Amino acid sequence: MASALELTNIVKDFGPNRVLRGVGFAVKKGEIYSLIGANGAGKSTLIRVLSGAHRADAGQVLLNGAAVDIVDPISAQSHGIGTVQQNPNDGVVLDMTVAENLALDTFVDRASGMLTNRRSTEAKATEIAALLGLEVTPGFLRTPVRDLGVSERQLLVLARTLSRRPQILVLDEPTSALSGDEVARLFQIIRDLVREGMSVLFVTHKLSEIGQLADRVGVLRDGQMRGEFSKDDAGRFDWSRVLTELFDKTPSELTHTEMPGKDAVLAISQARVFAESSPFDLVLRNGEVTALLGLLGSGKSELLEWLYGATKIYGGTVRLNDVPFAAKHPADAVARGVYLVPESRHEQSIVPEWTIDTVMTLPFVRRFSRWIVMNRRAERSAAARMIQRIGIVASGPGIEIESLSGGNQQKVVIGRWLIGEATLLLLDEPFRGVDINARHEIAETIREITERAPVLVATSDIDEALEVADRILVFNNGSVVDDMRLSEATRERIVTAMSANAHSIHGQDHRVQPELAHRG
Amino acid sequence: MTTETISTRRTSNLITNFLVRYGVLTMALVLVIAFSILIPGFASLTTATSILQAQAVAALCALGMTLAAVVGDLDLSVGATAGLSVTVAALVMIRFNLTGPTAIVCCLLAGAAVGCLNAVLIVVLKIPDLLATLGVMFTIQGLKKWLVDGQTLTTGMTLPNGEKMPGRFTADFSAIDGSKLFGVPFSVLLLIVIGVLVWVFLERTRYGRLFYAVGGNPVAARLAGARVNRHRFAAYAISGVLASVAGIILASRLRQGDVTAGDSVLLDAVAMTLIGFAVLGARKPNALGTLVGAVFIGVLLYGLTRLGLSYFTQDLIKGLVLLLSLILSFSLARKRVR
Repeated sequence: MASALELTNIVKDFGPNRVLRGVGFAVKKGEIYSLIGANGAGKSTLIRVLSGAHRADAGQVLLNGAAVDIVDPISAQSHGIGTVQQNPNDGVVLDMTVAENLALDTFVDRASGMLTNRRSTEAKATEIAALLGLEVTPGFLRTPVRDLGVSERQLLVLARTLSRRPQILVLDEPTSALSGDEVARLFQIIRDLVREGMSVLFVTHKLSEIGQLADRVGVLRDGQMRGEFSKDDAGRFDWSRVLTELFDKTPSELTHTEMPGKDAVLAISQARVFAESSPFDLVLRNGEVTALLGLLGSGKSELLEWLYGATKIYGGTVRLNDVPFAAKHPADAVARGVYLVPESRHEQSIVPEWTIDTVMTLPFVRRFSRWIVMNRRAERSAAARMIQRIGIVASGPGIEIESLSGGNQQKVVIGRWLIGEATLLLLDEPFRGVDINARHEIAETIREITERAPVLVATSDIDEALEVADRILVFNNGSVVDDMRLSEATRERIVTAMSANAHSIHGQDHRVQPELAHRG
Repeated sequence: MTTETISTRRTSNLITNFLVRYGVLTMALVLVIAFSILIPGFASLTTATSILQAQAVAALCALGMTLAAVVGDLDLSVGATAGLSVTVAALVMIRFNLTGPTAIVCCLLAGAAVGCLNAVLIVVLKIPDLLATLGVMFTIQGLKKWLVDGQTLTTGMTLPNGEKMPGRFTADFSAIDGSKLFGVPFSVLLLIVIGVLVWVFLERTRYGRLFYAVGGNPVAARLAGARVNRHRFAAYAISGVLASVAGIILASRLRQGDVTAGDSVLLDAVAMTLIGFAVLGARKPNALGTLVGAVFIGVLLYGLTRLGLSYFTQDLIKGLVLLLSLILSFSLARKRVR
């Protein structure tokens, strides 16, 4: 019997960048298929191809065995593919009411006539909301969506998509904005709909959800499918095999000798990133690179931003060189020598059209301006020195940073902090979008810094952690769940720690080392 | 691709690049040369100072607007603030019979107050920048009329209720626009000094650097340790003060509390700031560009008036020049391949 949805050899390029390199898999009718992949693997691009937002450059999409051409979102819908995007704000009109949003499709549908009236809109909206088991009061229906929280917006988008009775429901990280109860309700609805014949494809990084909902899970890595797994007789996935596929790369040539840590510099006590996280203690030492290894959503970025004074978390105190440290703003952190390289250089580090030297000196403008006038020559020479030191490929410090390659841009953004004197260097996914050579050089630069200050690298990639770190902390649900030296680190141990949560959700007491949850 | 196509593309690229970078300056140069030929006595110091004096009020407002635009968006309240200064000056000197320096201080305080009002609305109450200053503009326009019961205050006038105004615009205050220093009107010198200061501030000091960072990517600025809200607050406050300086010059010129003073300044200031985007291909607010914009408009209007252009065509000309600059800034700049 033909599959409900089949993809063969889907290719998608963005300029010179090949994001999807021939993706192929099939979702059977009435099946819930989950797609898992690291950042940059191509998941969101794949979803957008299915939803009609992008067109594939090669390959076919088959529905019930027949090839279809998805030219735009409307054609995707008319083929029976309903998509819910990751960002709920992409699916709602913020300034319209709940009722108008739920009934949005009727406004577009020619058959429904020229005039709208509130009563018929609200009637339609109530119908649609009922699909999700949502009871709506007239007051709620008239609320502008702008006043709703993110999770309520997500539910609206879901309701609207379901109201079109898609044959195939595609969900991109559907629960990122939902509470526990809402997630449970959503899953129940999905199971009911699947029983009636709908097929579901959903993308997530939350292993527990895959365990609860999916029949099969497929692993996407570097734009290709790397394996599909079904549940065993006991109804569980073999997580270690799944995660091994997720992370396995060709072994890197870089092996480094593990450095022992020296002095304890940073002491974190009783930190809790999320409301439900277990409090943990942590000591960071200089002389070693520490990796904070956690999947997306584990809370590692939040931890780093908290240390830097850029965000608040649920609890925790910090001592830096045995003096209390509580940054309320990044300026406080920079003043104490605590530096952060944020996750997204484009959104969080680079000012458009600025040059290498001005991007580098931004946190230290005071240093380069003795009587408030900027010393351009000093800036340029400092930047030129950094370009030499880190090996940035650029014709000079005065060229625009956006004209550099991704790896070189990242080097600039990291290099800026070398201008100061770090007491603690935090890097959030520093290797994202960076080619192999640049990664090597960045890793070397990072190691140099550890002579003077502890370095904490947050990453979701096991190989990166093994490549750069002397000490690996596994982070899960806002707490440290394992702490090992490089010599003790094996893929199995790491993968077990990362999937600790997933096992427990299956309802079995499958925790390998229960004490690990509270190790500091 | 044939060599022919490559070279034609390269040439068209060069032309686009040239237009984007030097278009406005070239046009200005062409204008000056043309007018010098067509109008006798155009190329002289007197003409230059006349032009600058005529544009000084709007230009100072435009400089304030430029500062605000760097960190956020155009400050639409500058014209109204200048008008408020005129009313305040008239009240202080004509109604309350106080000294010129007192009037100056009161005007500057009024400007600072409006600037802080903008800042609070934008930074604390999180209203979008442009809309907040628009709202303040309407409010201040109404406020200045309310302060004087809608009357234009002149020296020696009698109010409808029989009250006679005790004071007058003092000599030292009137001298601001009236007197000359080294043969140049004081107001023009003020414009030049302030213009240079704003340029230095934005282009050469660390505060200017932080202002541009805040405007370019506030998230990145914050994560580099910049106190984003403080800088935004300061920008709007300074804008208000600069607008009040413009108002002081205007008051000195009018020597009466004209209730409609300042109403036409806003559009001129906006035009100058936006033309500034096109100068040297900046594509963002900048002090030099705003000053060039002021001079450009001034030269154009002066020359055309001397050549017989009717006054009501002036707005049309300003509009066309503005559109042309915007095309240079946005459409053409985007087309060119780096």
